[in-house]
Amino acid sequence: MRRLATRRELVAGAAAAVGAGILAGAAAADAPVSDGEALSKALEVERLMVLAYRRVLASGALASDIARAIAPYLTHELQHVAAVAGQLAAIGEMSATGPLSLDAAAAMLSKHKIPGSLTDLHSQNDCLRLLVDLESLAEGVYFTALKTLSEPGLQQLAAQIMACEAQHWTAVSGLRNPGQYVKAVPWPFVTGSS
Amino acid sequence: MVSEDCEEPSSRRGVLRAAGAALAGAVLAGCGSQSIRAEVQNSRPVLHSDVALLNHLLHLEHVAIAAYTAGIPLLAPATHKAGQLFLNDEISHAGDLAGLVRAAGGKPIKPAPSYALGHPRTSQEVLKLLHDVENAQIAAYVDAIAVLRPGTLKQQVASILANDAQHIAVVRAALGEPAIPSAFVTGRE
Repeated sequence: MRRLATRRELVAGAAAAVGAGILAGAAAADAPVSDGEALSKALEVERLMVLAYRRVLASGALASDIARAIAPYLTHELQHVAAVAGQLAAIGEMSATGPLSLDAAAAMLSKHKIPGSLTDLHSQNDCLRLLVDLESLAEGVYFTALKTLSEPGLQQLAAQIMACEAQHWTAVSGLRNPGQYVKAVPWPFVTGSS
Repeated sequence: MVSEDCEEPSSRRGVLRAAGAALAGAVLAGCGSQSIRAEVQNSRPVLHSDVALLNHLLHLEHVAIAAYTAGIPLLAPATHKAGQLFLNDEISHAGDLAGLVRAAGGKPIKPAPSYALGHPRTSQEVLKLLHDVENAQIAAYVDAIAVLRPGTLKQQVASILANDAQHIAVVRAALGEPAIPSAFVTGRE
């Protein structure tokens, strides 16, 4: 029972921190964000996800069963790219849908303070850790977008994709830590990273 | 507790874990730190017109709490811990939603004395029940996000939805099914 009590305490603190983050974010984001801007940010992250899964799957660092397990997530990310790009097109904003370049990806990793590199994937742990960090980023971009997206259909799409990224997070984290559910689902509230 | 998150300094979860450790005492002692719920309430009012919807979501959380509470003793050892963790998550969700109902000027719905959960007798049957319960919640949250105001409230509901999506992925894996069958979580998979 000691562990559960500790988790409860941390959850209470985390909820406060999430709230503080929202408040701080609100102050910093007073300028209105258009649906197009929010979707463009999400699309950029999704294109990064596609590149990351491709690089990880091509790295040769994964055990075959691990590679088989995560391969469908690349398909999901491609579907996310198509869905978000489709919504951008519907509001008259054309966008690139291919994977990011390695340079652009490296700049994004740096910008979001994500350790690791897409060109330096030597171990399975490197790969899975990077994917976990990137899934957090993907969760976060949709969590942020939900504050400002104006159309109900876009809000639902963002929530559905955010939930899928959270499932990826759990699955990849579970592969890193087999049987340790507390590491795969550590918090009752998912907000991602920014 | 050592979590995946503490190894991820760049993630919001990692930050939260560190912040949570520091803040937990103050929050639990009621020393003025505010919960996500309070921050949402302070940023903009939760609309009274949303009370019925929030209470519906709270009702579904009560159902989930009842299902996990009744089902955990029947779960196989491999999934028992997950059940306990997820029960705690559902309790956190219920507390959060009850606060939102109050903030909207409403009265949080109380748990019913019992719920019609069927008569699962095996670990597999319990997992199927939990799968259905989680799916019902997910579908309701997806629907609610299109209706609730303001945006910060949508964020809060999405943060719960995403956690329930994580639960159902684990439940599906325990059932021997694909954990993540779709790129879009709807609660109807």
